[in-house]
Amino acid sequence: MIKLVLKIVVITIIIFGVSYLSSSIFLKKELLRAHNMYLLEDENDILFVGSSHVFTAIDADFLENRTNANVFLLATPSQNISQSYYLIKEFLKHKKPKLLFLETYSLKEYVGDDFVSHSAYDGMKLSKTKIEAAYDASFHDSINDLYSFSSLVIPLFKYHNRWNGELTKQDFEYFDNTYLNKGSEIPTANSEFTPTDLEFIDYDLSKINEKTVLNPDIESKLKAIIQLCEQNNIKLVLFSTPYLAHHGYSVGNQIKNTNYIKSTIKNELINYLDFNLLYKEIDIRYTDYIDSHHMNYNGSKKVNTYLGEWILKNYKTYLPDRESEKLWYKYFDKKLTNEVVFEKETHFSTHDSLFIEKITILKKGADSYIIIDLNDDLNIKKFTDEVSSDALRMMVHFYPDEKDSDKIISKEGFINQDFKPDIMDFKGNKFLFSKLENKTTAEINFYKFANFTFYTASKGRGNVLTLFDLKL
Amino acid sequence: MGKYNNKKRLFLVLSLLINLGILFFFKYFNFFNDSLNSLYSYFNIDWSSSRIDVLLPVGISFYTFQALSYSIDVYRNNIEPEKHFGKYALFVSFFPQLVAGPIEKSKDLLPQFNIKHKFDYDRIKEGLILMLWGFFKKVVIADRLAVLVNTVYNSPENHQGVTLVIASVFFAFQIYCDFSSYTDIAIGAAKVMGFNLRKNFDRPYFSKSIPEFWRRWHISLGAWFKEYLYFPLGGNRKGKLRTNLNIMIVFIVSGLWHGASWNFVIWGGLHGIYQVIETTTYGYRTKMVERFNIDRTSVGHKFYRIMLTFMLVVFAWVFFRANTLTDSVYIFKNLFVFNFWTIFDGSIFNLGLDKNEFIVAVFSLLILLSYEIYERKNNIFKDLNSFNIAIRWSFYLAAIFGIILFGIYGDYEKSQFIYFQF
Repeated sequence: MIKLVLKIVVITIIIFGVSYLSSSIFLKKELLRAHNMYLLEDENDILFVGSSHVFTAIDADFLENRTNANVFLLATPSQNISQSYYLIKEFLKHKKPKLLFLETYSLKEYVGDDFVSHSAYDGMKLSKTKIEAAYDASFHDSINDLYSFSSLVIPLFKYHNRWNGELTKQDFEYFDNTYLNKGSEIPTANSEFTPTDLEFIDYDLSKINEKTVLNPDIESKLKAIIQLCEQNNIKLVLFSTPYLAHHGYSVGNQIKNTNYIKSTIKNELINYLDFNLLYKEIDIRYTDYIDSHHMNYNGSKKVNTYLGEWILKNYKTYLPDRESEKLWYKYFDKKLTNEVVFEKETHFSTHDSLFIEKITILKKGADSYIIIDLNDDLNIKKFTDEVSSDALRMMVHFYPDEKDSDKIISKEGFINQDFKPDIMDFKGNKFLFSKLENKTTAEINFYKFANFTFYTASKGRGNVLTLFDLKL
Repeated sequence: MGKYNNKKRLFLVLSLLINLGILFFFKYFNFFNDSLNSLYSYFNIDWSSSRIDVLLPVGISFYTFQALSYSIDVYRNNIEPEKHFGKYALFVSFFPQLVAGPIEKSKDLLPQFNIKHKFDYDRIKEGLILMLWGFFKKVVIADRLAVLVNTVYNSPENHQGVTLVIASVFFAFQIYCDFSSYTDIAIGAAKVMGFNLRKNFDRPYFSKSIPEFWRRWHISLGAWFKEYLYFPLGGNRKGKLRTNLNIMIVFIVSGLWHGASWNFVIWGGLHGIYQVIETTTYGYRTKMVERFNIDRTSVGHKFYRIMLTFMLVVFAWVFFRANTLTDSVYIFKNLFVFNFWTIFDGSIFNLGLDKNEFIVAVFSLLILLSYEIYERKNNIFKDLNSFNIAIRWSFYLAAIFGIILFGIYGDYEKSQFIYFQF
């Protein structure tokens, strides 16, 4: 009997141990946003928690630059309140933020579908918290899904069929080559809306005074998050990014739920900030969205500019000033050391005296950055003017394979084509020109080749200056 | 005594009526109702009755037959009546084999409930290995083959020739692996708890004739029909004509047992016809063999007979799997269209299984066939014990991780055991 029990124990340990360890290979790497919390070496001051609304609108780098505080996003697609709770709980084991922004859109539901659960928990290390989270997602009310539970704890059971052509070298090396990504993924595409969609924006949401009682499970998890904040002396901001959804869990539902919270939960730790009530104040237009839920680069810039000031106004004395630590630069220096995938000296002239001396592309995880070194500080202004006046437009085509070079991954897939970004100062005469999503299509996760082109609008669209083709 | 016998007969009839009545209500009412309605409408008789919309209890045919075997055995004095209701209830609802057999005879299973079961390490190990083999057959083989089979059989009008042949052969292996895997898991689970269930499959696709196939395929059902239907009808004791008629009755009823549809009736009938032809032509075939001096014991001849039997079985499976009778007819009409090149032009990989999945399917079938060939003269479970622990454990772990990696579960469409519907 003892012999059998011993053997069963040993074989079970081997099976689950090997399955768990090999899960890291089979995991879908684009769903590991939460894993970044373990890569965070510096202290964290401001933590944002929520859905894709958050990671498409909130720019961690921009806010760090503006507030001199360290910012991190623990945002995953369609994140719901129970996921927010477990992610915060896990995060607090490692870091103690001063300020927590919890997105009220997460009040929409208690348990999400399979994709939503995996997006939240696949990046989480195996721990008691993760097992609790998986249990909560799999055994709740009418849901009783043992497979869901076991595949959340041991993701190999979920992704085992990736053996068939999906695994790449990247899957085997990912955890050895991963560097911090603070979580922002600002889309650079133009809006898919037309001016007729403006009616949603014009609607005055501040007139909504009704209150909608929260589902008891959702309310209990919200209270649990508040309790975590109290225990860790964290100020809580219940906030929402702007979005236009008028179906399902609409902006109206979200505001009514927030009204209910305001009236029932009295706690001086809690503050509220809803960008849906600030359309006019920050001049949000239809061109600031890529779709009904997500901001694009233009909208994000407006949100972050306002948010930076709002944080300074309300929490400046409460947050540490890390300017002397220059963590923002440190972060990028580290990226420059570790994540340069392409660096090229050039003497490319857009016109007259504006020269680009060097182009550097950084790419890691979900973000890509293009850093442009200009010939001198003076030209930063010229370049900025060129871009903002639409005289110069940049176009980057990334494609996965040399043979696909004629396949432009754009519009539907790679959404960086032909955009006009605002420019963010970087140190010296370098500046960060753009932030790109490297997610192209479901099939193409990592590009290898790029074609880097400037259009000089004044000479007509047909006059293309192809700078170079690069092999990443 | 006569009064006692009458009472016994009355209870038997009651038991048959209740058990078969429940089975009829759930499984056959709509079938007979629809068939009658079609018949009435054919003769322009204005009469129709409505269908009953009820869920079919899982495995109803299995436990009904098991319950019937008890009543008949008691009536025949083959066993003592079980006076402990709990034990009788356990006999009917013994969970490992409740939903898809093997259909146990009361005299085999009931006495085991009175035995004290002691811990037996080797027995438990053997049970677990058998279950593992069952999981492999179900999750890796049957459910993978099902992807291609479903693609083709759910829209047969889009396919011809080789595609239909491959889908039909795959279905033959799918249903075998699906059903025998359940049996293996059931026998293994029962073994872990100390119970012995009867063997239900004995390498059926290595049969050299249709009667032999039925001695190796779903053995417990075959034995049930033999004992409780074929013999009471007179078996082979009442002349050739009556024997053949009895065979046809048994196989048509067997078809109906599988499902309330004309497809199953034809499938059963076809097997009946195979058997009748085989028995009636036996004399002529023997003369031919002697005239042409064919060595019936040669490997070549055996292989020919195995292949012929397999082909006949596959033909019959077409009716079993096709969604409608019209589909079956279409498949037969288009089965022999010559388009052999589709094997090489890659179009075979557009049927739900891409190239890699197809390779895994074929490779796992080779594992199955190698296992069955090995099992002919050996017992793999006993032979495994002769290896050292490193080899044994490597084998077990390879099997487990083979199932975890190559199994069709999770994001794939969820699938049940085919025989759960019967």
